[in-house]
Order: sequence, then C-alpha cells, then structure tokens
Amino acid sequence: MKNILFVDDEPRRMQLFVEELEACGFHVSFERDAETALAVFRLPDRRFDLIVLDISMPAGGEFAHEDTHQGLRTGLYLYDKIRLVTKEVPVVILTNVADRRVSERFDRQMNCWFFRKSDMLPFQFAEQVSQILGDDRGLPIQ
Amino acid sequence: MTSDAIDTAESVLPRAMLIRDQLQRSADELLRAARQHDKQLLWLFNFAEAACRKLQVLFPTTDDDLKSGLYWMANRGTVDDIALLGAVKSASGDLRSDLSSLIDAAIREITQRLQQDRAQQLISALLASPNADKKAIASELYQLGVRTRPVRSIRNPLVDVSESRIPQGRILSSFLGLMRDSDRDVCSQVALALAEWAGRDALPELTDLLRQDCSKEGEEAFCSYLITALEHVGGEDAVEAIRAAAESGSDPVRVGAIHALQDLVLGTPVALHEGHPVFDPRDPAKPASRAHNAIVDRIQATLRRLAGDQKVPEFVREEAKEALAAISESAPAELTT
Repeated sequence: MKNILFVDDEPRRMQLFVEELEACGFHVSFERDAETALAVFRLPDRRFDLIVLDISMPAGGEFAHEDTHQGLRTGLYLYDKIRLVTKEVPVVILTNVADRRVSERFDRQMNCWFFRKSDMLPFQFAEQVSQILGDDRGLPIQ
Repeated sequence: MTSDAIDTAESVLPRAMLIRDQLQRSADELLRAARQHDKQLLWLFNFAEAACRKLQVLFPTTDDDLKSGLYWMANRGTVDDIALLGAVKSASGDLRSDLSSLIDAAIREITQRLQQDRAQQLISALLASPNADKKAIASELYQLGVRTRPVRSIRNPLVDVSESRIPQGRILSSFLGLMRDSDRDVCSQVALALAEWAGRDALPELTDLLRQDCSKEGEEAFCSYLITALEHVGGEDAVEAIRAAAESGSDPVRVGAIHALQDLVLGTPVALHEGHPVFDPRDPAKPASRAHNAIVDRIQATLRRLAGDQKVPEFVREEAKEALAAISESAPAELTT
C-alpha cells in the first residue's frame, strides 16, 4: 500500500479528500502543521510515496524564522525543506492560493503538481494522485 | 464596539454557529453528491464554502479556527470580505497581535488580487481599444500601478531589476508594441504605465527606444517618459541607458536623465510627487553592496564629465553639479563598505 503524507491545517475540511484517497487504496498520514509534518517526513523509518501540501498554514517552530507572510506562504518553505531531503518524492500542492507567482514557482519544479482546491472535487483529486503514482485506476476500491 | 453591538453579537452567536455547522454539512453533502452525480456541483460547494468561511471569521471557535478562515479569505476572499474583515478587526479590541496582522495581510491580499484583475482588464482594453481611448486607459493603468505598488517599494532600484507586475507575461510583447504607436501621447502614457508594471522583459525595448530617440528633436517629452520607465524598472541595463542619454541626448533629455540618475542613487522624490502613501527611502542602515557602489561610481563619473564639460550648456552643467552634490552628501550612509 502506498503511503501519502497529507499536510493541511484544516483536517475537518480535508476529510473528504483523505477519504477519497483512502478509497483508492492509499494509506494517508495527516499532519496539520508544517513543523510536525517536516519532523515526520524526516523520521528515518518513515517512507512516503507522495506528499500533499497546503501553502497557507501557521508558521511555528522551524518556520517562525522564515518570512512566511503571516503563514500565508508557509508551504513554500516546507516544500523547500522537503526538497533538501529528496527530490524523488512527488509533491502535490493543494491550496486556495490564487497568486499566479506561487503557481508559476511550482510550474518550474520537477516532480511537482499544483492544484487549486476550488477547481477540484475530492474524487477528482484522488484520480490525479492515482495517475501521478502510476496507479491510474481512478476508481475507489470497493 | 459598543455594548449594544456586543449584546447583539452574543445573542446571534449560537444561531450563527448552528448555521455554520449546517452549511458545512451541506457543503460536504454536495461534495458527496458530486462524486456520484454531477461535477458542476463544485460551483455550489464553493458557494457554500464561501458562506461558511464568512461565518468562520465572524464566529470562530478558536484562534486557530480564525486563522484558517483568514488564510482562506486572503486567498479567495472577495471585495465584500474586505468590509467584513475590517469589521471583525474593529469589533475585536483585544485581538492577538498575530491575528490582527493576519487580518491586515488578508485585506492586503484581497485588495492586490482585485487590483490585479483590474489591471488585467485595463491591459486587455488597452490592446483592443481604438487609439482615442488608449491614452486614457494607459493613464488609468499607470495610476493603478502607483496606488498598488507593493508596500515598502518605490520601484526604482539601482542594482536589482523590478519584478514584472503585468498579470500575464505573454501579452507583454503586444503591450510593448504600443510604444511604437503613431500617436506619441499614447506611447508616452504606455511608457508611464510600463514604469509601474514592467520588469526585465521590457528593458530591451525601452533602452532601444531611448537610444534611438534621445537626441532627436521633438522627442524630448517622449524620452522623459522612457527615462521614467527605465528608472522605475531599474537595474544596471536601465542605468546604463539613462547614463548614455545623459551623455549624448538632447539638452532637455540630459536634464531628465540627470534627475533620474540622482533618484536612482538616492531613491528620492519619485514617490513623493506622485502622492504615493508609502515613501521608502533607501535604508541607511543597510550597507551598500559592491555592485551598488560600482554603479554609483559610474553615475558620478558621468555627472562629473557633464559638470566639467564646457561644451555642455550651463543649465545642464548646473543640474549635473547639483546631482553630484546631493549624491556626495548621502555618501556616508549610502556608499560605505
């Protein structure tokens, strides 16, 4: 079973996205802040096949030193820190951020996809993730 | 907030929380329904979510809840939400400072997004309109650019080129094409608009035009707009083009170029005479870089040449001397290290 790290500060609102991913057969670990997510990602015994990342999240701990625009851009720094560890793991940005500059920043990245929450239903998102992971059944496991 | 208003808010709170929960459940149901039936329900979901978020900001359960609502507002809020956020801030006298500044940031983000949309409309109109309207549209675009400059930026950097603020990069070539319009007034207003919106991509066209026109009779006014555009976009290439205009342009162009060079070094009156609310002179505490000093040295060399050249009209020499003196006065803060 493939492992997904899902980072978003609103677990309640992301519940349906998580459910759809689980229905597609993925195991989802949910973290609601960037600091904890980074710590989990760095654990030597944890291996993730894909990371789903929000951009606007509270900026505590290691991220307090960065200019995250009051947390509006915390995910940018989390992405950079993840990429310092590995460039192999696909990262899927799932965010409300509408700023063109942010999406363009990720357009130029390898192994990275950018989706807006407002453009995508949870099951569509799960289909995209399935395709990215080469498991493009796109249908939940019944 | 008055006590009446507080009483009113407290009396509606339970009902508002109930509505918020119901809306959230409805939004979830819409998503589930969309899974099985119709993807177009996404629109309804987004509509429901927007309502939920307003209630989340008005009646948050925790500070983190408010923060999440503010993140959403910053990224997807609309013009109505600006007023709502302002009301939340003014009604919450004891709001934590990080939340208060996040409200400010959310208002700023929404405002910038709206202004970007307006800029996009104006640029599209500029490209599609008849000539008679182009001048006015370009002028509005320029004014919008001034009003919406990022805080703490006067947009005339000496070393680093300003980042383009044009919403869609692909239209820049059409935009630049207007600089060669048959109507010089249109060209001038477009140059002024580029001063506020353009970045590195516009520099080759701006520098080419200035090089071609800086000594031509009758092009003095247009060149002054070109110099303003280059000054605001900034960077070494822009400085070099302005320096060349100062050395070989017609006399009025030389004077404009001298002023621009002074402004580039000192970061002075550009924002002030435009009435921009934020004026951010160079930070004297920040040591100047080697690249900065090298550019300033070249500017000073040009100004010295002009000030001492007897073939140059006296009024140009005087302008060069004044600029040199102003730059020299700022030397302890600007040109050390």
